[in-house]
Amino acid sequence: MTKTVSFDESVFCELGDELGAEDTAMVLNTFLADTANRLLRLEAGGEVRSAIRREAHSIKSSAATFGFGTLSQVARDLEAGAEAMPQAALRESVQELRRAFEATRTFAQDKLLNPLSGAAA
Amino acid sequence: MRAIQHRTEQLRGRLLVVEDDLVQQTIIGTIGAKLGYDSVVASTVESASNLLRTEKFDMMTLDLSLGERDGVELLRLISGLKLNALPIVVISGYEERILNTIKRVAATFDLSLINCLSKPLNIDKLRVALVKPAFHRPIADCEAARPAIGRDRIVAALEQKEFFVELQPKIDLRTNEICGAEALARWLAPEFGIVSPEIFVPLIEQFGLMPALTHLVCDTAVAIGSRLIRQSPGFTIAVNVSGSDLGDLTLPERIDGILREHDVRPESLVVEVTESIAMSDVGRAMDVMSRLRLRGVGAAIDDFGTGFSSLAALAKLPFNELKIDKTFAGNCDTDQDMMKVVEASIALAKAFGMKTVAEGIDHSSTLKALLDAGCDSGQGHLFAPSLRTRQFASLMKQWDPGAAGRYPAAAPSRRRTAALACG
Repeated sequence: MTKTVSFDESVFCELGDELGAEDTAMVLNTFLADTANRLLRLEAGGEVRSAIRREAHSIKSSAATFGFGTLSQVARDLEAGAEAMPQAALRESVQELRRAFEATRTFAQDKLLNPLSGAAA
Repeated sequence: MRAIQHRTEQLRGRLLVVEDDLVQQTIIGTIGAKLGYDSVVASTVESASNLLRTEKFDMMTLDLSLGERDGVELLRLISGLKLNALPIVVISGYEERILNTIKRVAATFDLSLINCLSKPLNIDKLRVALVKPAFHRPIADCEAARPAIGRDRIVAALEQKEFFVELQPKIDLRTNEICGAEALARWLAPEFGIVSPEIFVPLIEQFGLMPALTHLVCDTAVAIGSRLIRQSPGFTIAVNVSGSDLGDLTLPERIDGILREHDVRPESLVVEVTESIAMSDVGRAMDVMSRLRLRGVGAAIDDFGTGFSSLAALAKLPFNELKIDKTFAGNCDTDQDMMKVVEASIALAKAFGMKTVAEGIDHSSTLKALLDAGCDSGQGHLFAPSLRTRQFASLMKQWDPGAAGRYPAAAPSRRRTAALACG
């Protein structure tokens, strides 16, 4: 299952170059909070399939903006199967997304946000 | 609704960010602020509609998927509000085919679509799109700038011979020879300058004066053509004939008269039929066209694929040439959807034993794609724009099929034409 985080540093650096350290940290924090909320909604299980697809679509796009390859890929799989997957597979796919997100969040906090807050200070 | 203030000395005005995703809102708004925009974020179609109705913006980014609704209805609204000059950057995670269609939708609404960016958002491309200055529309295209032109003014223009003809060369794509020219009506009005055909053709249709213009253009074009045909046997001259002309049962006799007067064989003339107005009376059109064809005059179906009843007209009328519209041919090297239409059009033409002419060849890559698809001939800015008679004659004299135009050594023809057009 998802242990490692594939991360495209060049994509993240480009974002950092455009936004600067402070805004990059702000946007990244927004992403982590927003994605955490989306996951809670997905895990609650009350959403219709089209809403699940849209949540997955958003996570896929935003994760890719930061260069978070694994998370984007797992969200892409959920988006592709959201409308047709059996219920059990859907739950499994959401759990997979949760694992990918937790790994990404840990990585982001340790490797990206801490150095960024150092740079901004 | 969120607002993000500009953070630069240079002010670019107000940016409307239509986006339902919090992360994307923040990124786009922040990039905008760093470029000097005051960004306003709208997350739903409703809030964006309200903002567009009540406030003024200098730039807009639009995500196509907004919850259960989509951004296309906003494009329609922008057109309805006559905000055609508002620069729009479309951002979407959808596939290229859908984005291409959105581009066409924006073109249909005559909107200022600057760019379509795909997700994940490339920040560099976004920045470039947002700093691109709004493109300025030529004044003649603006509704308000159109002079009011009445029927009497156009009757006078026809009598005073204010209409004249420009010629655009048709090139045989295999030999790279100039094989003919399309005659295009132009109007130089002393008080307005050059009036665009997009303005005068609908007026002439509306006033029922098309037969008079067609007669004038045909007479002028055949007169010019007679000299060119002597210079280059096999050369054909094409004139545009509208649906309303084909309702005129005297057209074949009038064309006969013109050909005799200038001593030109019927085979050297091609009538290009557009369906800008639906051919309401197909019976008459069949009558007129069959008599023209019996005399030996060629007939081309113009702007194929864009009219109301292209396939019905193709099946019923005796065309011997099919002109693939520039919206298909001009983009066929970069747009796979367009290439499919081009290939199907060529196959259809072959099935009917017709020659194919591609319009809108502006790049050597387009020429290469059309050659590979088996297209016979074409016209476009890669070879030459429409030219005054004298310029066209010198282009014919200088034309070297081995040296220019033909792929891959296409570039010289562009330079040569540019020099001619300026000279």
